[in-house]
Amino acid sequence: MRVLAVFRRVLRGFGRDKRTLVLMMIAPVLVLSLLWFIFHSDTYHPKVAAVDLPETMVVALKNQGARVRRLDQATADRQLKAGEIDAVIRFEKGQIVALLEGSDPSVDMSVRMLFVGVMRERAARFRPLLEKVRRVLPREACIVTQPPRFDRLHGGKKMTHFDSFGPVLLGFLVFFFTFIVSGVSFVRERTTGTLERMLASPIRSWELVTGYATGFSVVVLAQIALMTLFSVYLLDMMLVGSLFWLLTITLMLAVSAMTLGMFLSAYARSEFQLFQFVPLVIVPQIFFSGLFQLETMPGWLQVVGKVLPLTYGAHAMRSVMIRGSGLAQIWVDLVVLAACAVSFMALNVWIIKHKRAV
Amino acid sequence: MSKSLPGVVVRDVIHGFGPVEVLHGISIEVESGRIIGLLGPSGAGKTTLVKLIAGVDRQRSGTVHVSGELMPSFELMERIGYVAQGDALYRELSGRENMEFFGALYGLHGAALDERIHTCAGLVDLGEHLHRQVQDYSGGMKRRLSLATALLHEPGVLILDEPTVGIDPVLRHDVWDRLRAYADDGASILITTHVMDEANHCDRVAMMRDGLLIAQDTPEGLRRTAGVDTLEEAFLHFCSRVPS
Repeated sequence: MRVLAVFRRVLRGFGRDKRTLVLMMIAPVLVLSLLWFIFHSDTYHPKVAAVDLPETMVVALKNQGARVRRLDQATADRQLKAGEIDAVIRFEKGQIVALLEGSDPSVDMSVRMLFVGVMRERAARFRPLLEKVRRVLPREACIVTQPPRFDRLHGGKKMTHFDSFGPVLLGFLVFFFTFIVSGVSFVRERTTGTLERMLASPIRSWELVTGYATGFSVVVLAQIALMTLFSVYLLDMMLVGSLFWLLTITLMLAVSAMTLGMFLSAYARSEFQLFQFVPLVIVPQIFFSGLFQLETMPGWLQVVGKVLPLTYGAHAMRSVMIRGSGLAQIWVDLVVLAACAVSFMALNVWIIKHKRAV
Repeated sequence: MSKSLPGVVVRDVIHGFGPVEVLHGISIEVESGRIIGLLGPSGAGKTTLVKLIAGVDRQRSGTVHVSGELMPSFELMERIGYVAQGDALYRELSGRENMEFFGALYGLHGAALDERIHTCAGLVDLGEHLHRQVQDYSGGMKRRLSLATALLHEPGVLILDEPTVGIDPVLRHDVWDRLRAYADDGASILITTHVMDEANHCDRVAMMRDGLLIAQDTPEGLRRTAGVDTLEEAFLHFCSRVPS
């Protein structure tokens, strides 16, 4: 059977090309490890200057993880300007005022979070006193006397940025690496003439595409299984749902990336041109994949996100990994991914048929 | 194999890429048991023409018949052997694995495939190198492997695009002998070449230039008509008679 012949040829090719195989396995593992180091690290401890603050407040800030230095106003201002500290904190008419450095919102946020922590801690300490005040104040003033408590439906206290971004980045890496491998392989079929040699044989276009897709799927399955297992078991990425669904999603995401790579390779005359598709087709997907809040984008841009496979893959992966979802919650994503893969394959068949005489 | 039917008949074929017309109405015939040489400089349209005959491209107008039936057709492609200009081999695979793959595309398998690989590799003197990866082959070896691969399914029509480039003169002579023997078995062989001397091995030579056939006859006939001693001179003679 010709599909089988192509399938075996693809596997043999990868089997002989040890260097590519090793790179395919090492590169994603390396990138994932780097992401772990970046996103898993402890929360940032802001550096703040305390100007004429009472000792109790300095201690309270330190308890919240701030690195506090007591400075006079002039030195504090100079250090803030020089970027050595993140904020200057002082008393002004009985109110605490923080002058934030202001160029990095995430640093600003961690300074503000210091005070949320201090407020909560103080509220607990003065509970009996505040309780008396609360009785005489209107009910909505409780926000001041008793800071709100936050519970989580998903995630939990131990959840880090790595757990939150992890599923999306894992999906992106799967998509990226699969796209490159299949795209480059198919470009090479075109440039070396082996594709034309196949087209001169009585193989049907669909047999060619199917053989290729199945052969690649096996290779890619090994790669994504390694990436997924490495993330979940060695890097301890949160996985609340089942590993089976996670692997199913990544495989389907990979198949759509693979067929997209094959399809776009028809428009690339060299490997170099294929790589030009990465910023065009792959990179934008990450912006729509859930790493960033999309609701603030213009409506037409949100629509763009709705047609990209990674959007669905990342959504399903997050659901399974963080929210513990099963088929009931992710079937739409799976259907869309399958539709992507099938239509890209159909496009591949069409493109080959179009070029060919038969 | 259907070697008894007339090999290839090309009628008024016009083809081009984008706005550029590359073939301006070509008609050519390859009878069974004959070797026809397509002779012309690079850019003449030889490769474009043989691709149409091999069925990897579709002409804009005109017809191609193979064994009396209209191309393109999957059934006919099984009877055609095509060696493209590049070597079209998988570099990371061994010679044998390449032959196994392309043989399988033509439905060969098992003992029959092994036997054909043995025979065809022997024809081009590659038998002892089959286990080596193709990336370790010399240019000539790759050329011979391509040729052997195209012979696996015993095609009744053999299309060879510049088959002897990079093959040393002794072996080249040998390859021509094999091709002659293969034609004597009833196959139609179409060969492109830009080496004028090589065309002397052919039964008929079709001279091509700028997408037109400028002359078609036996090598002797062409030389006689032009009144010269070599095909190169004959080519120049026919070129000068074409209004350009």
